[in-house]
Amino acid sequence: MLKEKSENTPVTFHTGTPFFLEHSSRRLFSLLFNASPGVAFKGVILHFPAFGEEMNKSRAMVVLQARAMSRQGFTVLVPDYFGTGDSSGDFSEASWRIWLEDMRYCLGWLQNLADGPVILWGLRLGALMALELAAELECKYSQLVLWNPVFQGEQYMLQFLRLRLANNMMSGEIKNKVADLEQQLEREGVLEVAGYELSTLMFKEIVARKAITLDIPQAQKIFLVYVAPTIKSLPAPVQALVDQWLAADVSVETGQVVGPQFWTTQEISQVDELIERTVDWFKTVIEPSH
Amino acid sequence: MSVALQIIDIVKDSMQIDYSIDIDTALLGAVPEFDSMAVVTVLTSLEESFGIMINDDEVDASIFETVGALVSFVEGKV
Repeated sequence: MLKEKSENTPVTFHTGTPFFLEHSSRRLFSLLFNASPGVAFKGVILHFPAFGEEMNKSRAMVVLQARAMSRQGFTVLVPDYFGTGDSSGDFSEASWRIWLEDMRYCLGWLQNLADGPVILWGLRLGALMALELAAELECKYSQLVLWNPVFQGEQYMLQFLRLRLANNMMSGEIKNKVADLEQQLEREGVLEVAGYELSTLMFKEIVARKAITLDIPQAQKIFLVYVAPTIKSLPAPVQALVDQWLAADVSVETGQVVGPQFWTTQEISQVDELIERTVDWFKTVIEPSH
Repeated sequence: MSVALQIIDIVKDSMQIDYSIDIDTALLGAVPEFDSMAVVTVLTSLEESFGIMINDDEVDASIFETVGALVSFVEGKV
């Protein structure tokens, strides 16, 4: 006997609609996940992608989360930054300022699309940018979801430059140091790291970013999730920042999930628990708006 | 947990392998999963887990030859 079709047969809103958002002569490739028509509408979510290869590796997880949120009644926008993915421009032309300006534009675009709560959802370096935008906008009603946020741009750039060192080491090229690479970057204006042409401007902008200096509005609700292969306490700098927010009466909830760090793994990996925990958090903080 | 066992976990996590490895397992050039991204992940995890700072001039192919070489390197720093 034939089995009945599962109720979970994919429907159109699960796949996301690809389109280009045009702004200041930049074309941003974006995926839009419309809120499922079957449930009460709950708000709009803007995703801030990770940086470089981390963005590519995490694409599958981002789409899975966006789908899960659309089923919950949220409309989710997932853009590719200028100079990355399928957006226009070269990576070497990109800058933090341009990305932030584009994300500001995306947010306005989403708010024009639908009323309701606004959620900024960032992964790794994208989480730092989401925090910066939240601090700037002083949204009274916004929520932030931070997945393994990068809090110190300087440390992050050090790790990024190490990729170049590791490549050199493995191909047996002349050994150099991060300091040499920084000098080369200064001299030549651009440095290729793992296939990405990093500009001096972008490098300096990221190095200057520190979450601890951002003034996060009190009304902000933050959910910070940390994924690691084994259960550890939150890294000390992350905990310090959480403590600072709590002291400033910002509502912060932290969560830890055991699983592969999918933005760096060799194979594309999936962490279902992260998606479930994120969905659950939304259920506790956001009521249907009508 | 001993330094060696912790490092074995870190290396396995960085490459996402589930077969067992030991002190004698050769890494760099021997395990295809051990690429530059894995090297950077291992360095970062070692710094976080052992509270050490690893300078660029200490990073050399020889410390990634085997798991044991990596263990000796870290033991020399903690």
